[in-house]
Amino acid sequence: MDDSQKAIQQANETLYKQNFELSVKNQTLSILRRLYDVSLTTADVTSTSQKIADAIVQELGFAVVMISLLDKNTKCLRPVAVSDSPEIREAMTKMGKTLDEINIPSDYENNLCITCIRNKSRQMTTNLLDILDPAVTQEVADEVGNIANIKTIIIYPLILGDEPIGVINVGLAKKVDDLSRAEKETLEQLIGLVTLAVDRAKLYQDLKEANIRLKQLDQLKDEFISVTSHELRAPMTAIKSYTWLVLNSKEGVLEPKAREHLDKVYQSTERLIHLVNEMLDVSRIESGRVQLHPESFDMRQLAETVKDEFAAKASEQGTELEVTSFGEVPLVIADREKVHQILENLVSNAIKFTQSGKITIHISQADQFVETAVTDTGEGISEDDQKKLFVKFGRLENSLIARSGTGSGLGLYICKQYVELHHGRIWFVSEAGKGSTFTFNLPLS
Amino acid sequence: MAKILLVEDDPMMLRLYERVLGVVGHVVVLAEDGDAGLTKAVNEVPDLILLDIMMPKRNGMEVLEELKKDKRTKDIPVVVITNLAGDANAEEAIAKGAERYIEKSAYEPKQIEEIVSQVLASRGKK
Repeated sequence: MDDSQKAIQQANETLYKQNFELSVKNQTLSILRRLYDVSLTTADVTSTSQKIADAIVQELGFAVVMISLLDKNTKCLRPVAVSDSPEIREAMTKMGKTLDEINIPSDYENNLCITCIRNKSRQMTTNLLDILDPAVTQEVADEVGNIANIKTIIIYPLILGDEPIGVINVGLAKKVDDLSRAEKETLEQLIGLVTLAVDRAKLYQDLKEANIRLKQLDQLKDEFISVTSHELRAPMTAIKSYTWLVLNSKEGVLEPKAREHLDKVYQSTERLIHLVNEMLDVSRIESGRVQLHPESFDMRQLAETVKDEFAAKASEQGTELEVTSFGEVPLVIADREKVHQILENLVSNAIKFTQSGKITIHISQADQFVETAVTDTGEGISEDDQKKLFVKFGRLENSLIARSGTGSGLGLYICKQYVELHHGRIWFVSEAGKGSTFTFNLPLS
Repeated sequence: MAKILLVEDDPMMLRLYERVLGVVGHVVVLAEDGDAGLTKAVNEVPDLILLDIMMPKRNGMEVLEELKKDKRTKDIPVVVITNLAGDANAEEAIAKGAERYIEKSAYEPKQIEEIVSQVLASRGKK
């Protein structure tokens, strides 16, 4: 062989080597792309890992890829996916164990996967037992290795930040030394992406599970409130009804003082029932279970009804209560019972805060809405307290009456939610010492 | 005067309604659970049934369904009277054929007696 022949041969070898490396680079790009796709399109851990294992084996021509993850609950390294091929299926059958059954306790010293995790460094072996111990015997490991044609196993840690989350086992049909530099580089590059893809799937799955748990808890809470309030209402109704019976007994049966006391029992029971009902309302609002039954009705008529309900109480404390309107007001379309509840609430608040003076329920039309305004000449609401209106449990502090302890702080919150369910609005104007006006609007019929 | 079947598992409320209805002259037949209510509805042929919902053995909704299925009892007006709140429950009861749905805590005993009388009057029975 003369010099020129040698030069040509050398050039050929270089060319061959470059060609090979180019093809590996191509493969690398192709597999990276596939892994990227998997991580974008697959959500749960098992199928993400399965797709990754299969993709690596198909693109890079390895014998087998197995991905195992650390399970914090069981403190085990748990295989989640092994690449699928006829040989691997046969090998698994020979092994007589499913993937789930090759859990490795994370403190088991004789398994290279555990070493890999502990040292956060790549491990290598030619003995399959090193990664399957203690799940199988040497004999079975050898047999499985033969069937699957595994000569070498490289174990890479999957490390996220500084935390190992598992390992990926790559089984080769050749010796490690036979791997080209380019192939080794490809493998190194893959690991980071595999880690990210698996972790992303894990996060997604955790989130989904947490979400399901939350929904179950929420439902449990609703059921709890519903059942509890039923159980609470039963004895409260008994107290209320029997008290009513005694209060309505014949003239002279009750001493005036006893009647007065019993009246307080009755009123307190009413308050308790009202409170439980409000909690039920809130629970329904928050779980989105409020159903509206819209009908057309005359707001002025409803206002008169509410006025009648509160007439006795108002006159008792020397408060004047009136309904006014500007001419003819068109009908509204709304859930009559809910609107009744809203108006009762506003008027009841107004009476509570207006010891003597005047409360006006004013109905008027404004564009496509009917506005209902409840104005009182009471003590008004301080600026600090104004922020708490419409907020759940937002009881006012700077008010004598509020300090006396009545009211759950749920009433206005419920009003606001109900008004908004009707696509209406509720607002207020108030000046300390001069009184307040609460207004809500409802769409025209 | 009418015969009223009261199906209610809470003995306190049972005695109370028995008394309130008895005072105005109704004959009140008592049943303390759903099964007993169904049997008495057939045997006693009441003019009206006051039916609680949360009861042992067979709940009020199931009793209501059975009553409306049986031709011997399907025409007897049923007034559901319960501590169970909720539009959904009220709707279900009405859909199953109840005349009225009453949340106990919202009414005085007298008002309940008045509702019973209204329903009876609408059926031509006083």
